[in-house]
Amino acid sequence: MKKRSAYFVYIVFGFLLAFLTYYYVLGELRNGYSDYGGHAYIYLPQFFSAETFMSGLKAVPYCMWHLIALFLYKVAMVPLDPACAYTSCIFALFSYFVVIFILDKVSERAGRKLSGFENAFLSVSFCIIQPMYFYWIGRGERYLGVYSPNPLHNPTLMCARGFSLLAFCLVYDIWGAQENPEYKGLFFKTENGLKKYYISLAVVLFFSTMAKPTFSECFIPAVGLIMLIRLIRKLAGKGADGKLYLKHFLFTFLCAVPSLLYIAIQFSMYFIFGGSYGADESSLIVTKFGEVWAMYSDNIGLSVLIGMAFAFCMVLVDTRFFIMNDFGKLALVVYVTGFFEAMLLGESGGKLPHADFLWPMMSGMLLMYIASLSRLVYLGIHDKENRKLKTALFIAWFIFAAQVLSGIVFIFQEAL
Amino acid sequence: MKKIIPYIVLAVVMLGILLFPVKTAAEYVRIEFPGNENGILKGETCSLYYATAAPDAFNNDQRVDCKVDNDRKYIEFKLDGELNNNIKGLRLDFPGEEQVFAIAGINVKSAGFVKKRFNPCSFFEDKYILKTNDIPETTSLRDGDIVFISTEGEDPYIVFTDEAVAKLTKSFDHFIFTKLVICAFIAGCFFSYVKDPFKLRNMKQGEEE
Repeated sequence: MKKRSAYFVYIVFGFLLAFLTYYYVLGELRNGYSDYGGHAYIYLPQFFSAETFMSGLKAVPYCMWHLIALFLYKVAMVPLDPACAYTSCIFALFSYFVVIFILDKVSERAGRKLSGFENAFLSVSFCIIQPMYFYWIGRGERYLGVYSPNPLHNPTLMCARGFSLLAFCLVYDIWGAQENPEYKGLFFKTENGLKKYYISLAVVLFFSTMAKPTFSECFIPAVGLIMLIRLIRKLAGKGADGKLYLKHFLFTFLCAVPSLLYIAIQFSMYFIFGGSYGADESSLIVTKFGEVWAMYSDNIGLSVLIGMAFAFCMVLVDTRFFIMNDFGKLALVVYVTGFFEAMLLGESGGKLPHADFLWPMMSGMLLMYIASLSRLVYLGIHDKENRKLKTALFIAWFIFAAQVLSGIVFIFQEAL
Repeated sequence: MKKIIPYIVLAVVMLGILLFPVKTAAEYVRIEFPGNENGILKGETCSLYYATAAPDAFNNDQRVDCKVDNDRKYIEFKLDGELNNNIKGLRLDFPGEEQVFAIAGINVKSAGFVKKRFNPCSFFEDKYILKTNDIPETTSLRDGDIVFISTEGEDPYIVFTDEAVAKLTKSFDHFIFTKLVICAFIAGCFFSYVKDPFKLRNMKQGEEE
């Protein structure tokens, strides 16, 4: 009975999120210069006919959002604007349910499952959370220069979010099982073997890449880096651990191969076949440190601080979690990888200001936020005695709430 | 000895951050208009000339323009970080229109922070104005901290005195506060890890139960 009422609450909050998403997208579409305007009115129509389909694919090889919108428009005969809005609603709900799943599992492990209301409320909050905002600080922009774990205005990154979170959970449990065969997964039942989870990881990563390659661009190097360090350590030590871990390393690498191939195809479409607009003279370059970001921020350190306030607060509260625990460590390394990509990579020529390599960092921000929220939930349930910790967690909740409020204001100001 | 090594590494990292060379941040001079009908400014562009050779040696190569956008209620001029300590004179040009408009505030921002805020009534006092052209009158409304400026002719501008120039151009940020905050964050993480102030050492999410 309790479970059924929880599902009811999930659905009610899901409708709320879908409602906000729907009207936000319609508002964005009214603004012709928005990302939504570009994807809906410039790229998507190229998929409408067989003659222009290939040029559409070359322009946006990460076409999951476009293909779903195309299906709704062409097959279900939904008009174009609502078709785009429904598509974004589908993916918003998908990531919402993935967050519910994560918080449910984490709270269960902490000793008390979150109630349906608590979980749904936190999950919706997570799906709309935005950076801190003070109009007199920085350049007074809510998004540009500060960036966000939820760039609501970008259909493709929002489309990839759910897959990104699932891939994160899968890798966490796969790592647990690789280290300890007795490990009973936190999110998935890994004690019966990893085969299906390797396949799931490959599929989820591929879908994430198909939605937008930016998550894979920072997640795969980060996972590879951590596993490589572990492999070297194990090979340097005595015993058979090293050889066994090499096998795990190779299996995990195989999961990334479809995504890597897809990224290679996307990059060749962009930089060799000139699919991306204005890309004829552009190529991937290494920039001066922070060159691209500095175009939109007067103080990158300050931008990082207000963009990551809640996550950094949790890092301060429980640094050990972000260094020792795979969940926190993976989130942190992905974020740091994305951060350095943002600081060092760009496209030459006229596309330099497009700041396309800031997107991977936003995927890293997403993982830092989910790791922080799940840790906050875990500590809140687990510890009832420690007064100092309670005070620290209260501050963390306060910052979380302030950022959620910033998200609500953002949605209402920008679109509704 | 082993216990000291992490502290030495921390000190080296923090020192590295503090000594890391960064460019001086740009400075933004923002002139704010009131949010009512007095804040409407006719015309297209305002300009800020900066002189680096002599206080009144203004030329078009040393000029920052800002388009008038009455929805925003302010105009803002960016002075690059390289101009730090090199500005000897400033000239503020208004659109060549016959009009009376109000200024509600002047503030100077650098590296994302508001560094100084000036009351326009004090700032447009005679002692800060070296010269005006096509500006017959500036009137201060003390109660509302608003100054009214009337312009006429094609080339209305105000040249500021050395004192006013010094006030406006002494706020270029060198990121020292930002670096200190980064160091404080790293030190905070370090002590959180080493000292474990919240007794979380044995709480490993997902593995211990």
